[in-house]
Amino acid sequence: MSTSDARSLPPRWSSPGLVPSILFVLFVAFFAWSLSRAGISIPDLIAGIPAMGTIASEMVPPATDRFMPMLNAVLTTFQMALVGAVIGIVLSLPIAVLAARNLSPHPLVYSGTRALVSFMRTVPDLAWALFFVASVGLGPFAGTLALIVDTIGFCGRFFAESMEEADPGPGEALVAMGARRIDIVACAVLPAATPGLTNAGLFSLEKAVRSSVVLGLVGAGGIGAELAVSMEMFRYDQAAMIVLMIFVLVLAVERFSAWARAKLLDGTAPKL
Amino acid sequence: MPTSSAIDRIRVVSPSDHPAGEQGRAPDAPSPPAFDGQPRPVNAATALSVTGLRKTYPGPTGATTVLRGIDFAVQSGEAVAIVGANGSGKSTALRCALRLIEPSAGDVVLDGRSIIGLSGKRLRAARARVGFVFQRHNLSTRLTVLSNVLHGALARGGGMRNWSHAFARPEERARALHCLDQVGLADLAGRRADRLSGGQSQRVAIARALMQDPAMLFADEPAASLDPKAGEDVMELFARLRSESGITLVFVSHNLDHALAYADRLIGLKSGRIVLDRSSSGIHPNDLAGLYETAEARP
Repeated sequence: MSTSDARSLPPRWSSPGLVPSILFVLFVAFFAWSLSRAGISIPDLIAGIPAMGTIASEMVPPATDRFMPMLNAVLTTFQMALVGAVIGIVLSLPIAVLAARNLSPHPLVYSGTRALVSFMRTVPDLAWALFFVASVGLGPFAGTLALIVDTIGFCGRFFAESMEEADPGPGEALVAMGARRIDIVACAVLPAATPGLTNAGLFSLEKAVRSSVVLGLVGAGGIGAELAVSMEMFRYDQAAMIVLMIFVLVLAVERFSAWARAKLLDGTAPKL
Repeated sequence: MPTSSAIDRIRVVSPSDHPAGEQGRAPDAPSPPAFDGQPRPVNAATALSVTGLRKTYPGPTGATTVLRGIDFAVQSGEAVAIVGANGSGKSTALRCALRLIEPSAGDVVLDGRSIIGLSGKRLRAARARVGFVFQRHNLSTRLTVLSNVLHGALARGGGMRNWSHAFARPEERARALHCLDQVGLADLAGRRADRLSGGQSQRVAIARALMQDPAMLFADEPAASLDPKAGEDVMELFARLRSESGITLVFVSHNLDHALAYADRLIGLKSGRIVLDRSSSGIHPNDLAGLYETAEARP
């Protein structure tokens, strides 16, 4: 190669190559097919607008006649979510240690734990709720169990990834001084992974609150059951009140989550 | 560019240069007893003995050999600096000496006992005798200074109570504070480690190493990430600790002035081989220029 070639500017665009081009064409074709099977119909949407208007008008003003029972159901929903998320987060910590490549005691343990966590995550929370309703009966306990499993599936993965991404320096220092694996996890990995753990934990709480609303639809307790009954009875004004309550609950949890995140990650040293 | 006379002044070391008992064992000598976690026997002046240490990394285009069978010994109370160019194997040698990197071959004897082949509790007991100070302080930055220093007691089986200063026994807290006092930072015990300057962080790392009550200190370029003043302070601290406790010190340094000022002896590595091993007295920095000469620069 001559000096002038070596110093010439690179081309603005480079050819993506045969395989990426084929993949792109396949993606576009599959998306077009998916679009046709998704049942999207502009005429149906337009025809449905009057019905939407009718339902929306019947939602106003929201009914307050069953306010206290609804408030109690919202509280149950939140308590279910809180207990499910907290127990799930606590159980996720040791599972994540086993599922983190840099901490797992053996590759087989790593692979097995990862597979278990993936299974818990990929089965939808509604399916877990149906399973637990069939197992332990209707009510909040089934919903709480479903939320625990769902939280482990979510936090197990993200906790493990946070632990894998943690600065290895403090851990190396503890290895060099002869500390045990449990000491290294507690004193080096967990403090370094705190931002990731905090984010995943708080997000799982938000997720559990949203999920707990839906779980009631299959009999797993909480406000979801009230919403289902109101819709089936065409009491859209009651449904509107329930939706408003859910909105306030989710908003409050999200605001708390944002506050706690800032406090824990940017504030002063947490009191131990 | 270094002159040929400067290169000539670098003495190529052979195993026969070392007196028997200092340099390590002959290849057919029986292995010393393994570390068993028991109190070390009153011994022997040799604190560290490295024999035939090799490190090879396999790679897709062939193996890369970083250490090519190095031998050296460090006497109790001695300060030894390992110097050499980037990639010469200095840090690898120090890490292999504590098996933070697994050597491909060779033997490492700490306090009269081989650590090669040890695992689990016995390896941890062997490592607990050595304080290791890294180039980056490697503190848990979200924890307090005092908690970080207390982690040094984990090596002595301090247990879970030493995870945080909030749970530690009063005597351990007092000892950690004493270690901080030794490095001049007792007044920062309650501060979070990420609120410290680089020099302060490195001194906390030294305090953590002192908390181990080590027989020996290893330091891998302890001043390299610090400004000149802070770097000098850290090296002065090592010198003071040596004069107060007589602790053995092995440090890697790119700073030849530090190596000459703070070490009794210099070991020069080049391309994974020891090419210099002599007392630091009487060596001029120019004498070491050959260590940093690249193969391409040679005529």
